[in-house]
Amino acid sequence: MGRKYLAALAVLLFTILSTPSIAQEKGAVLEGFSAETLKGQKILLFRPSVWVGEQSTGGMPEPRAEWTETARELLDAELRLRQADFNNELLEEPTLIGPDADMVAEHKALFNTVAHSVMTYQFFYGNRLPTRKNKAFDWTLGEGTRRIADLSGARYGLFILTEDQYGSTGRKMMQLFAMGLGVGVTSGVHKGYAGLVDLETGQLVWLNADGQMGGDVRDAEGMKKRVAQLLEDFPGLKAMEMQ
Amino acid sequence: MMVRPLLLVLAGSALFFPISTSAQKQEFVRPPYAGAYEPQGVDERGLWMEIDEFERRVQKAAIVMQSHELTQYVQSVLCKAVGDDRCASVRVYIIKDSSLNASMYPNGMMFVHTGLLARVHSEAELAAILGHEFGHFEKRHSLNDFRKRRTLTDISTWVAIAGSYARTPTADIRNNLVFSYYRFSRTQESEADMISVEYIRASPYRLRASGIWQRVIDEDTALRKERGLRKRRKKHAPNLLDSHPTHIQRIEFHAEKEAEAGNSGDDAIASYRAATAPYLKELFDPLIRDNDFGAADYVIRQRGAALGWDAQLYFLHAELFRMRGHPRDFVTARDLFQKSLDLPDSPAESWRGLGLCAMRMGEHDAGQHALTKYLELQPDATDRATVKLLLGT
Amino acid sequence: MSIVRRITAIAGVIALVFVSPAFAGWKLMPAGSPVEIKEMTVTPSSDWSRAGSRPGKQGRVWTQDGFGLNAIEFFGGVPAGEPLYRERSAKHDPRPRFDSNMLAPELAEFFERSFRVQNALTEFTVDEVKVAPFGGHQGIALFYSYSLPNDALKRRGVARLAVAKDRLFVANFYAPQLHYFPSALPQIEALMDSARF
Repeated sequence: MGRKYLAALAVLLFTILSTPSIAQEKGAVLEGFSAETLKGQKILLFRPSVWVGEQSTGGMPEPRAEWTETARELLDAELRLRQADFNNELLEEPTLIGPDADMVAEHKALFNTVAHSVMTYQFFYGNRLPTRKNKAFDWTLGEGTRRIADLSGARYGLFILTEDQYGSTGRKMMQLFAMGLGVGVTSGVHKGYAGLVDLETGQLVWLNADGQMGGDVRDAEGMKKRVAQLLEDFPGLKAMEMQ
Repeated sequence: MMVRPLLLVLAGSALFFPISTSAQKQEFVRPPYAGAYEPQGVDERGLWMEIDEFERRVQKAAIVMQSHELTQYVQSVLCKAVGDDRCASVRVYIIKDSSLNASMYPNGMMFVHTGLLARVHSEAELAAILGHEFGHFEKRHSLNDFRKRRTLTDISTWVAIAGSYARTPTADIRNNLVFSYYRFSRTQESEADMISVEYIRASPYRLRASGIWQRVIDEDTALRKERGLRKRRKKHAPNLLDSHPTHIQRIEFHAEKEAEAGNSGDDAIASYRAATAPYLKELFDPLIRDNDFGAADYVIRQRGAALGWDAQLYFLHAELFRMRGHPRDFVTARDLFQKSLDLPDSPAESWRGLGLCAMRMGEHDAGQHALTKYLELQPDATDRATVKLLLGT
Repeated sequence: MSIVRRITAIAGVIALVFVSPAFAGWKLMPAGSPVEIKEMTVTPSSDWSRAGSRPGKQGRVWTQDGFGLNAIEFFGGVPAGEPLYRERSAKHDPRPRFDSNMLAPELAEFFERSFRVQNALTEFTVDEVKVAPFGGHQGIALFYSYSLPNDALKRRGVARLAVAKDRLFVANFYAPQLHYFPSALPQIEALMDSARF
């Protein structure tokens, strides 16, 4: 009887250990879209969505105002620096009030929902919808983005979202303990979406969406790395030197 | 044996200065208010950041009742309860939600649920609850809760993992840690009850809180009865898991304070009735749509008993029965709709309700007559197409 | 309990909790192929993905791009006395029950109350109620708007209901108001029109 259990345990642990650490893609580009397409076009940079906090041992996210403010400043600074690497002119999101402000906010919310869907139902191997599996990358925010093009004068819009929960010491220790049991436990959440939308049509022409991004967004070096990951393979960048 | 942490809190708190114990109302003086504070320290600033973003969204949310008049009224009751200098740092939002709830955030946002306004019967009762919430704010309880919760979740998880690794049962230890968190919260709730009493005694209002909690118990009993569940056993002492003192503890605490205070102060019942009457439908709508018949029935009856039955209240009661739809409910509902229609300002929907009941009871002519009346009064009714179906047109 | 059994048990639980998310049991509903949902048959004109878990005893839910962007539920014959959505506890969380004597306006109310309680919504508005045949029987169509707590995205839905053989048949579609709902509507109406029961 002992042998049977050991065998069962071995199979179970083997399954757990050998399950890929969530195999998934992280980026996609619309077929036919390239640097050429972007030539001479203006890109509206939407005010990025930034949230930084800590993840407690028990998995609870806790906001950290200082970290978030720092990250916001660093992100703005890094994006400003990186402008030089863009072949295109980057425009700032205009300050709007009233229904136009609501409209932009709603589009940002929709972008987040779409990016989440892409990450969950197309990029993620274990959960791909039959209606999305092995299909071309084809997602939209709808034609309402045309109004944003009119208001800003930009042809394309770049949405950026980062959400970081740094694993506390406790969380990291828990990881070690769990490893002793032969199980993988993630520490921290480092989510990032960067998406380029054709504001004339609403079509998502390029997207990076990753649930485990690198770079510590609380310092300049880390933010540099994070932005590099967010903009990885962005068609509008000039050729870069390897870091 | 009931623990009384309240005395310890009183001893430690130098907040209020009773001048004399005569029956005169103006005997309690509130201490000077320190004013809205700036967040100190990491945890608090994090919480503020989240909450400020939240307020921006709240202002536009459809879940907020946009009635300026009613909101101003609630704010004015708060001001009378806690004083103008305190009330100036508060922004009241009325939230369309059926629960008896009000909450306050460290940045001065106060949410008052329609479920609360439906359940209290006077300005004095409203003031007692608003004072309790403001007490949390003044004592900065939000932050304490948050901080405590993090620490205990950590330890709890630690122990669980360590336990299984070492192969020893850990259930008891884990539960004890959870118990400790809840005890801490309960102290805060008791503190807020205490502070609320002190605010009210320095206000023009009479102390009126025990009745609210008694009705909460009775409402729960009514809900459970309708569902065929046994009454909850009377709890004189909280379970280790309770985050509030038991209702009975609160009733006893407040009843004692009310006895001490005697008859001084105003209830302001008539003004509460007048201010809320135009909004009765909005205040009760979430409650009657909740599918908790026993609870909604009880709350409606209590309002009627305390503040009188008007056309709106009869209508709401009728709708409750009609939507439950047991065979006898249509008879009850029909009678209530009729009562509503016999009084001034009955909503046009009373005719709709009357008509539907009649149809369900097989009285087609009466039904069609009432539904026709409904469409005459509300030609733009959202559901006119389905009503017209019943008229054979 | 033996050591091995305990570790296996713990590892099993942890595996469920920590290792990959559900292989959700998705199934393709290909365009042109009629699909049975209990007593209802529908024929989609484009591909859909059907989720493994059911929203109710007589129900199925499909999506094309993920539930947050589009979702359609079908209920193929709820008998009198039963709720629309699955009830977790009849005693503690009872749901509105269908009554086969319900009149058209009451059917609309039944749907509204069921959907609101199912999604714990306080913010829900019925925009329009129409009379429209469904599945070859007289029925109603309900257009509604709502939003989820803490979500800036406004959402819209359309539900079609009809009673046949004393049982309730429902098709319910919901999506963000921005682009997804309006653009899907013609296809959805065709899908709902294809229903037979």
